[in-house]
Amino acid sequence: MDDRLRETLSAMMDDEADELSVRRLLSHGSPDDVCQQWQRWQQVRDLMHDGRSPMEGIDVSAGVRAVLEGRTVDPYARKERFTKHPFAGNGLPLQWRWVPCL
Amino acid sequence: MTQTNLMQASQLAVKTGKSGTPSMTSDKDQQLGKRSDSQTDSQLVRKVRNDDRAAFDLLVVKYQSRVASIISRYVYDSQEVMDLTQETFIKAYRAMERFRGDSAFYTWLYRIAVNTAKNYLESRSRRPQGSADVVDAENFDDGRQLRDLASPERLLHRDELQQALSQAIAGLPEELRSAFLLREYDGLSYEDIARILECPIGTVRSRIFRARDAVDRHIGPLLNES
Repeated sequence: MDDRLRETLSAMMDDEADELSVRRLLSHGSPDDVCQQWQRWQQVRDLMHDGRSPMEGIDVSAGVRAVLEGRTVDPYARKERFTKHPFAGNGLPLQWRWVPCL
Repeated sequence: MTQTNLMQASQLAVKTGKSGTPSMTSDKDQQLGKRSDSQTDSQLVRKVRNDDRAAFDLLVVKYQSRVASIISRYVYDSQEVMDLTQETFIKAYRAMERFRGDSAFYTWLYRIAVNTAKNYLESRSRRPQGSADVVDAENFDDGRQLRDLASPERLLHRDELQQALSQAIAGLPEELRSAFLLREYDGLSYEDIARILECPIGTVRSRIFRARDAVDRHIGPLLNES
């Protein structure tokens, strides 16, 4: 990523980038580089404003991306879910069963 | 230099600006700064709607700490906070078509986060007694994580980072430091900073970028250790 694009990214941090520059940046061949740079600057900002180091923060970006790209199981399915008991019905009160989905 | 000192330095930079105008952080100016807060978000949201996944990555990185912070007001288990944070963003992505832009993106995301946390708590309250052992196991694992977070090593690392940050900012050339601090601590727009420093907006933009870059290079190795 060249300095012109990085300057655009910096302006985006400050809500000062114009539409055309943002489009140019996002069509950049290496979105991972863009995201990494963005993340580091966000970390510096967190440190400056909240005194929070990256170690104390969380990073779910990779997990979110993996789910959206279908590379991993959706957390909705992975997390504990309440589902209807398979044998419920026939006038019996509805029962619930906890099913740990892996 | 402590964080307070940095803020004082920023205020000093305003007071000693070439224009000598002391009212640069007035409410009106702050509001002007805030008015454009969602400009980048709006641009990114439009891209996401055009199926630009990279734009969504930037929104996740930008807001994940804040979303986690909201969720942690409802859920105390750090692993669950992480899962629910992830779930919030996945829901947001899938609902992006329904985001009309009536409110700021963050406000909309905030609502999703709160609802996700509340739904989670509601589902837990219905959990049968038989699952208590699983819950206990989760809590046990999480307790260990929480202790790790508060470990002396991490506190030391935070101090090191703060110190390195202060050094990096103190080592910036004056014109870069002034622009950078006016933006970061006073939240001024580039236009306002340009007025204070009596230079073109493009120069402000460039100075802030160069300052950010220099700070990043200075503390980058420490950030990587994280």
